[in-house]
Amino acid sequence: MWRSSSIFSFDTLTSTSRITRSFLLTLAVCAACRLWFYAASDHLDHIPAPAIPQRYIQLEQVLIRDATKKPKIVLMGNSLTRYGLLEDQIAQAAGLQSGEVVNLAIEASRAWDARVLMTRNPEFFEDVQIVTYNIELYQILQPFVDERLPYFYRFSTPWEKLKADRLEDRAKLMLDWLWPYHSERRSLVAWWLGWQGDPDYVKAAGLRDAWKPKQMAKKLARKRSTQARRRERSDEVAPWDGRATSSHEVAISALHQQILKEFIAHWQQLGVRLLLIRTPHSDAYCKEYERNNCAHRDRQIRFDAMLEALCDKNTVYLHWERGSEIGLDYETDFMDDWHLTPKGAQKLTAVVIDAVQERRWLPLENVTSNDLQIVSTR
Amino acid sequence: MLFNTFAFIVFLVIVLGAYYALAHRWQNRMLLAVSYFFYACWDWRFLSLLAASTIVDYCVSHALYRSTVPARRKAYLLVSIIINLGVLCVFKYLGFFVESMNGLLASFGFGPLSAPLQVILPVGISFYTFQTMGYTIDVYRRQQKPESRFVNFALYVSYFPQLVAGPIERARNLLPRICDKRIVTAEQIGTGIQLMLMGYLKKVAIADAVAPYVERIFADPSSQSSLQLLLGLYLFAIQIYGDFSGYSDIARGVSRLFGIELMINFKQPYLSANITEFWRRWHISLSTWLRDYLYIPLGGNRKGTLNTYRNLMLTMLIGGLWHGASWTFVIWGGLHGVYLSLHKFYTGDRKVTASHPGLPTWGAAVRWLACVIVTFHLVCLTWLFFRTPSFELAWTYLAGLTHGTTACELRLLAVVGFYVLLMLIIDIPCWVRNNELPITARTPWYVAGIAQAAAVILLSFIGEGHVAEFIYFQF
Repeated sequence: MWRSSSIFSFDTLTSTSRITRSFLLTLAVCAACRLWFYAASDHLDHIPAPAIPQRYIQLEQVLIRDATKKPKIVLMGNSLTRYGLLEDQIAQAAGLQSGEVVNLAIEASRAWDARVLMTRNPEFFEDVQIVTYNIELYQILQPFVDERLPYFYRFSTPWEKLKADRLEDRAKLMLDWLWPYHSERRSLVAWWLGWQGDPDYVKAAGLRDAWKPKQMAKKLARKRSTQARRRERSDEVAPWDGRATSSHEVAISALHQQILKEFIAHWQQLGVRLLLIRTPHSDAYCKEYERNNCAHRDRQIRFDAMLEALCDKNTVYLHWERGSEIGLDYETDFMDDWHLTPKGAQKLTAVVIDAVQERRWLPLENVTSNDLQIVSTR
Repeated sequence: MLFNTFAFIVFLVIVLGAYYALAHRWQNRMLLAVSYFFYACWDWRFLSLLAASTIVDYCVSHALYRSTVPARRKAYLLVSIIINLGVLCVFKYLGFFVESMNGLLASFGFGPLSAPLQVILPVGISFYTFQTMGYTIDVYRRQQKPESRFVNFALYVSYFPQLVAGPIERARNLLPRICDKRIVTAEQIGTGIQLMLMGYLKKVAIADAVAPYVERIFADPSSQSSLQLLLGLYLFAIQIYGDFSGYSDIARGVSRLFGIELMINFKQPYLSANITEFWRRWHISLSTWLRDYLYIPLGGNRKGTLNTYRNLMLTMLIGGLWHGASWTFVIWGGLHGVYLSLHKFYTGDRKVTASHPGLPTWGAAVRWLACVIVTFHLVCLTWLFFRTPSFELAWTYLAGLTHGTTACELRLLAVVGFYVLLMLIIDIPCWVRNNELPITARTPWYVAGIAQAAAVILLSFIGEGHVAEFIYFQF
């Protein structure tokens, strides 16, 4: 035993704290509040959270919640759709009014995000007849999935969160849901009190930030420096001799592959026409990539084959490797190796419109949401 | 290490666990070590300053106590003051002095005295310098016996809950609590945690939550309407009060868990009915320090009316300068000096008593409310100079206030209303019961339980993900 003269005496605390009734009540109220959040989780999932980059909230707010019309044509996918397909040009070709074609692309997204968007806003998609989805191999590659969780995971329901394919992700998402480190709970209060959103918060023009003159100038400057580097490298590196230079096998995320298939199957079941598009990259980039990464090319071929196998009479997969295949000029039509300038987007949109017209998908049939319901029941 | 971080909570739990196990002598040694560790988390390089200030005042106080020769005692005191103020001046005011001199010389067509200096301000230097100076002056006045044990004295200077932003403790308050054996009761733990909770609520859920609005309005006052500028001032008044009194509450709560009572630093200042009362309720540890070590030695109100006004002005100007090396702080102090002088002129020799509930008639209550509103607005006007970094911006803000434009975001009105209400919900019960906490032993258990739960939920609702520093750390 310690003596009173020694280092330890344990005599500072005269009595341990009593568990008072008020303390118990505090605990009970806090627990009840948390339980209420549990019960209201679906409700919470519909609240834009400030932690999500604003443009995604804008997207949902401006294009879906504030929309006065239900769209007939929906353009989904990633930034290549946002900066590649022009909704107004398609609307004009289809004889539709503005607002009946919407661009719901989410930067660096995948089928999961598109699906969550659909799950969260089912009524919005009731009259859709054509969906374009911008599809890229990266969307199902495990390293990319590891890098960051899909944006709309934050919006997903607990059950969707539990579907994440790795235990670590499931744990992370559930922990975030139980005790969010972003301001989800504050959003609830702010939303109720009507404080959500600055005047600039929902500006549709902001959805194509990169086409603003200042941003565009930056992008083009970066493109020029990439070009210069590429020129230097091409002097040093010998042309590709056809052998694989990188045999590194990249894992495919089974979950995201499955979700992609589910996404396609969803529209097929509804009888909605689905146009899967892989937009072309710049010629210089393709050349460089092929030279340096043969394994990627093999994966891409397998990926293309998988998608083609999923196609039916209402589903088409359009894919191009290089911009030159559809007359895109690197100098004037590309902002970088992947994203297009407004001029390039016009060209790509025209090509897509031609492809759709060729299949006699345009003009649209006069189908109502009820008809679609019948189709889906069948 | 900020109070409003998870790291601090972990640190506190570990320190408390060890503290309750240790014997008294070892408790003080441990507290001293963790206080130095706490300070080193900010910037270990300035530990030497803290140690130097401690050693100087420890030695000087003993020399002062032993000496009976008045001239020698004065010399010892002077050594302490020069060293303490010298360090403070170098780190806090040298850059300001050089900048002001350069400006003055430039206005006469001369070249600059020196290139502008960028001196890092050691956190809490103004607080612990005043604390040690107060101790030495007390020993000089023979109001305080010097502490014989160096560990105890060093802990008095560096005690971590109040080291970086006060309260500026007096030796006669804090030293006996450090020297005596301490006992911590269940009630102390309960009220300590409640104080911490209230402090976190003020800091995280109020001050940090209004900060972005304040930032936006003060960043560009020319683009705001008069009404928005006025709301911006209200919000800053809420922010600075929530921030500083929140810090003081957390410090007091943490200290109470160690069984060491710190002085009350804020007593619902915005419910003051006049400016004199305001200064009895706002930053009490500083205002009483200035009163005891500056205003009274200058003569206080004993040397005629004019000298009283002069002393008030000087005290408040120095108080303003204590807050920061900038002319806007001097103006802030000067304005308070003018207010206090005018109030002194108005009241004359009548004793100013603190207003308190139990106002006899409706008429008296309305009069009191009007006085509170006027005092609050006068204080808000001074906050304008406190918050703006330059005169230009302050004038722009003032000019904007006088334009009379009333365009206003509805959201801003709602924000002001919500946080004013929240502040009143916390402050009114304390004020009515003259208690440090809104919840007392007489509060029904269900009210206490719901109030505590509301505080926790509010904290998690409104609390931002990011951790904001306390405003008073810069002083």
